[in-house]
Amino acid sequence: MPAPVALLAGLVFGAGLTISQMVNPAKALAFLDFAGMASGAWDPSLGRVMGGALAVSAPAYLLAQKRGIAALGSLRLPTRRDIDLRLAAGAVIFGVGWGLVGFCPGPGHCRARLRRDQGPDLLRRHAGRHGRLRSFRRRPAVQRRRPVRVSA
Amino acid sequence: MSNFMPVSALLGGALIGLAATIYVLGLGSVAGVSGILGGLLRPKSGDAPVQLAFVAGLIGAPLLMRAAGAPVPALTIDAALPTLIAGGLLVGFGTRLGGGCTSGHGVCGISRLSGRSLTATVMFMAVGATVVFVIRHLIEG
Repeated sequence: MPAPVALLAGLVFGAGLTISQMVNPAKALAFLDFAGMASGAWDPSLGRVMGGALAVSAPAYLLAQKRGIAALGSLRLPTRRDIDLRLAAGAVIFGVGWGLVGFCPGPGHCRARLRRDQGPDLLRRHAGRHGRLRSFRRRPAVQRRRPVRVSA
Repeated sequence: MSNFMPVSALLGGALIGLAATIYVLGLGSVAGVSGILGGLLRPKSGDAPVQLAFVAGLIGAPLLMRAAGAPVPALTIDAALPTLIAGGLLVGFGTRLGGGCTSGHGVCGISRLSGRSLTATVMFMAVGATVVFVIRHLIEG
């Protein structure tokens, strides 16, 4: 019985990541680009996603802790409270990786299947990048997607 | 403004929160993706089928949605392959060392008002933002 419940939770989680577009690493990077606020490049989506998630899960955790037991077994939540070096170092290392490429474990795996379809496009893009010295490229999001046409 | 879609962000977020709800009220544990994936590599007795089922759902969801004709977002990955590999290793190592990622610390941990998770979330967001700032505004200028 626990496995079907976990499957359902995974499906709902993956649907949430897809609908919110968090499967796309560019969305995470656009959120982390706080300095882009000035130019309008900042994308607050990820903040909204977390807000929406917390609005649902925070009451659920309160309820779970009040009940002290889950439907299919005991409640096994982390109990540690100390902030140690491992926690801090892990958060910093994760933050560096996240800032470099924009994906974290959930979307990264949700995305693993999606990429197959877009293989040719991705390969072309990587191939184009390999010849360059610079490994980081920023797409000029607004300009490239919406070319402005001025009609005379 | 880049592709900001407030409604889909909130709705998608609520679904992620619902998944965490199903996990904690049904199974009694934290729906942290990095922890579940890490658990698969070191299977404890009995946990592996549950963790596998969750990951299957996570991977299957966008496929089912596309098969049903729902819009699935295009992906934009601008990092070069070496950067992707380095980033992936850092993400994997960091989340295991720090005991969580955006789902485990960011959603589940903050939901249960954990000081550790709040600290970790603030730290990885600040560091991620710093890296993006350096790349986008200092290196690329």
